[in-house]
Amino acid sequence: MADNPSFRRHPHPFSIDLVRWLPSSATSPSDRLLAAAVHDPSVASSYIHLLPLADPSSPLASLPLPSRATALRCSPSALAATTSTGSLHLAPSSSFDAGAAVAVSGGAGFHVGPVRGLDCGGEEWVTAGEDGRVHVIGGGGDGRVVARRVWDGKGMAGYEAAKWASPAEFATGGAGCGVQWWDQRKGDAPVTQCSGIWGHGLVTGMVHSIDIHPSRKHICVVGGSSGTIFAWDLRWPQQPIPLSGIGLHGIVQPVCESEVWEVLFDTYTQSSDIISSTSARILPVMICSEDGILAVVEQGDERPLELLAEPCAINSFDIDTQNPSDVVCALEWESIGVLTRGRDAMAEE
Amino acid sequence: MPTDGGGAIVPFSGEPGQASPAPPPVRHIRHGVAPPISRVFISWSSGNLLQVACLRQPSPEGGGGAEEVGGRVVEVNLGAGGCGGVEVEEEFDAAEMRQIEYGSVPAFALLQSRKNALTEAAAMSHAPSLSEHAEWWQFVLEYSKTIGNLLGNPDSPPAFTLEDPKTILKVPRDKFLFLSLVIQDFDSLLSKESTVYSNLSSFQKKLIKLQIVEDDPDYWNGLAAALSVGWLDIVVNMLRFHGSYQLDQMDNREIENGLVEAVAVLVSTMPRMRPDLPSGKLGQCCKTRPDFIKGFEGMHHLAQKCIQLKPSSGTNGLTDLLVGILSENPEVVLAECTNNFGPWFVTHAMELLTADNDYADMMLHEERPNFGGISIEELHRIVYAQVLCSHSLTWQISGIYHWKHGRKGDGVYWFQQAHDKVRLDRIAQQLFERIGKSVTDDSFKQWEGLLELLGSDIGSAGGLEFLHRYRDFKRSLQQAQEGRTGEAAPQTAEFLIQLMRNPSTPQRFWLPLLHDSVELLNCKPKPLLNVAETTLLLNKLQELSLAKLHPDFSSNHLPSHALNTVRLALASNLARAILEE
Repeated sequence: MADNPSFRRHPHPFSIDLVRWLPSSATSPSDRLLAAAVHDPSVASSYIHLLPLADPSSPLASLPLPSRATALRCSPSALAATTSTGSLHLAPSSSFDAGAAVAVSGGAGFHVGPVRGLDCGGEEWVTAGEDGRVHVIGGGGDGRVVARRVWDGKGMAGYEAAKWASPAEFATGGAGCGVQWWDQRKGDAPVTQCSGIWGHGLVTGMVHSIDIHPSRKHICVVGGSSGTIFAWDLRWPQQPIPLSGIGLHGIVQPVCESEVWEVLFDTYTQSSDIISSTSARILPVMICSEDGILAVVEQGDERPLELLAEPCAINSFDIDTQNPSDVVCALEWESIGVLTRGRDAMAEE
Repeated sequence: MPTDGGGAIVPFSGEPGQASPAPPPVRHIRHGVAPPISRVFISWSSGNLLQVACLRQPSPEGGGGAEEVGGRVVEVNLGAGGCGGVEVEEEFDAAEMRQIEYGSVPAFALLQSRKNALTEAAAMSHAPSLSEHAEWWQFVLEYSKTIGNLLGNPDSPPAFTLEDPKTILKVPRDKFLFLSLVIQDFDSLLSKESTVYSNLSSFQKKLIKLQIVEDDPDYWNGLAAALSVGWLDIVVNMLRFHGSYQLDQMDNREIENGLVEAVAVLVSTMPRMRPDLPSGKLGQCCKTRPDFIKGFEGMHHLAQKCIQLKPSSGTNGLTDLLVGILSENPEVVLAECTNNFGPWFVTHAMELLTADNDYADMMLHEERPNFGGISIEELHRIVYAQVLCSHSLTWQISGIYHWKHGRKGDGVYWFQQAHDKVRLDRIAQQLFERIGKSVTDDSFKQWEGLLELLGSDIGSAGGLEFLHRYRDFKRSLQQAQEGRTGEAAPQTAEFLIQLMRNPSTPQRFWLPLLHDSVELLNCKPKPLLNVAETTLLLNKLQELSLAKLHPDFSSNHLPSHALNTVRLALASNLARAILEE
């Protein structure tokens, strides 16, 4: 079955920092929506734009932010964004207007500085910032939100990514501290951690993104600096499994050499080795990188499947959970790219 | 520029000699820096953007208010908002221009890689210079076409027309095309002399049938072609065919006729760069390049006067550029481009300039000591890159920035990326001293993360190595106390001995180490340390007791009987060990 991906590039007058699919009940392509965190350099203002897939250059609605967005997540009920001044903004998916949005402002009481770790897990949100603090935010009833500080590393570690595994467990990763696993049933401190695999004579690296597969909650896939991608199986916490990286001679080929900004388990790509897909095998992972690569990486000898090789960085991407053949990505050069895989690609053109 | 204390920067745009200058427009800038402001720096950024940096005197209290802003850089857009003064025709808005810049990168990169490949191939086969390569010229044309397409207007007029200079000169897309076309044209004309001849002869055949010669574009094409190859006599003859010479039209077209005749005269006295001319041929001979330039400029000046009789707008920049091109003067071309167009234009135009001009190639690539050893081409590329970077609002994050803001983890990470050994050493030193003072569990936990980050090869005198070993020891001790694995206790003992044996372990850590291990020493049933090891520890303890008598000795936080407790534990351990053996 030959996949003919079709790729469309939509220029946008602003810098696109992050882009996500907005979950909706709409089935027709004309109703599907994207959420994009944008920044207008000429007036130095930032927004979350709601964009229709049919015409991603003209926003339907817009939510202003106090500073540049550093993380964006969409859940079926709400959309959340965190900023470089440490604030969190939650807006219900149904009504996207500034009035209905709830915010937790940055500062000594919450986060100081950029917050890049953000994830939604059922009813609660987790935030992990570069200041080394981790908060769990829940609804306090009647529209209010309550942020509970789970951890304060006092600046020793800076977190860059966070991801829920279950209602009580989540993973974080950061600069030089590798990845950590937290279990709220066992107290506030990390339960286990792993410094990761950084080849090429590097002592430490920076973790940029973590993803956890919904049906295999004990396995995290981690993407970071120097093109490093590895899987962390909690059953063997000190033996991370390399998937890509430079300087790991003979173990894996690097799919890219620069920062891996985001990783996601790719539910569309069938694992090439279905027969022996034991629970130890890592499922295919899609990544985007600073050197303009969008690719799917698999464990083992399989060559990575390069979907895009752009002349500029790809800063963010998202796979539509309702239509996993569709991928949206944010290109450094002020444009949004929409990639459609599979036979449907021909029909749409 | 005058500034006042209230923070308003006033652009002063009066001209000298004006009787009463209009009041200068005032622009208020919100910089958010609390007074007193000690310094203001102003510089032009790209286009109409002015960069203003306001700094205040650092407060003598040092780190008094972390929230206080010490300074700020503000970018002021003078173009928008009608500040008066220069009126700039916004040809492309900023976003459009950025899209053009993005699109031009792949073409530029491709040209460079092709250039490198050809140069390598030429070097290997000892071939003549790059410009002789037919393929190379093809690449350059392709490149100029791509850039031209980015600027819009793909259907460009193929030849130099005098008809309507205004359309050509109004927008920058055409300026670039014009530049590339002029260079292209010269090449195509010069390399296909036979075509020029055949053009002219076919036109000659047409001439008989034509009523109004000057309406036929071939007339002008032929004129331009002949002019460019230096067939001045043909040009003058053709000019005399101009309709304005017809006797019955004299009244209406007197000025026009005068102009055409003036052009004919100019052409016949055109400076030519050659030692002599065969008799009967037109033109003025110039033996040297400077003479030629002088003569050319004189002619250019006269030509401009003619042009002024027939008004047209804003051609100055372009004609100076044209003079530069015609006189094959790359310095002039570059100067005109830099003055009139942006760094993007200059960077791309440079590729065309050097394409077929060895002198230009050499001049632009020569290393210049007054630029710090880089060439003009590199300088322009750096300027261009700087302009591009200044638009990006993602600031360079440095380790220092992170460290200062309390993000120690991030700080160390960035120092490591930058291979900043000096700072990492300093951090290691600070860490060591800090921990050296009090080795409590709490403070150690705090610094454990940092220790992990630093790795073990930073730090002088193996200081950090010790800390790593100490950390290993502590971890192992904790495991032994929790009774998690049976191996923990012997492992801990191993670590302890290693630490105590190591000469780099500072003396002030001995007692804390031993005190921590007391429980370990009393473990049942078998003693963990053998005779030799216990003796070693006892010796160290003795050394420590002697040192304690020294006035300089600093007692740490341990209880006063700590020494005795340790001595007792070691003694009993020795006894058991002797019994074991």
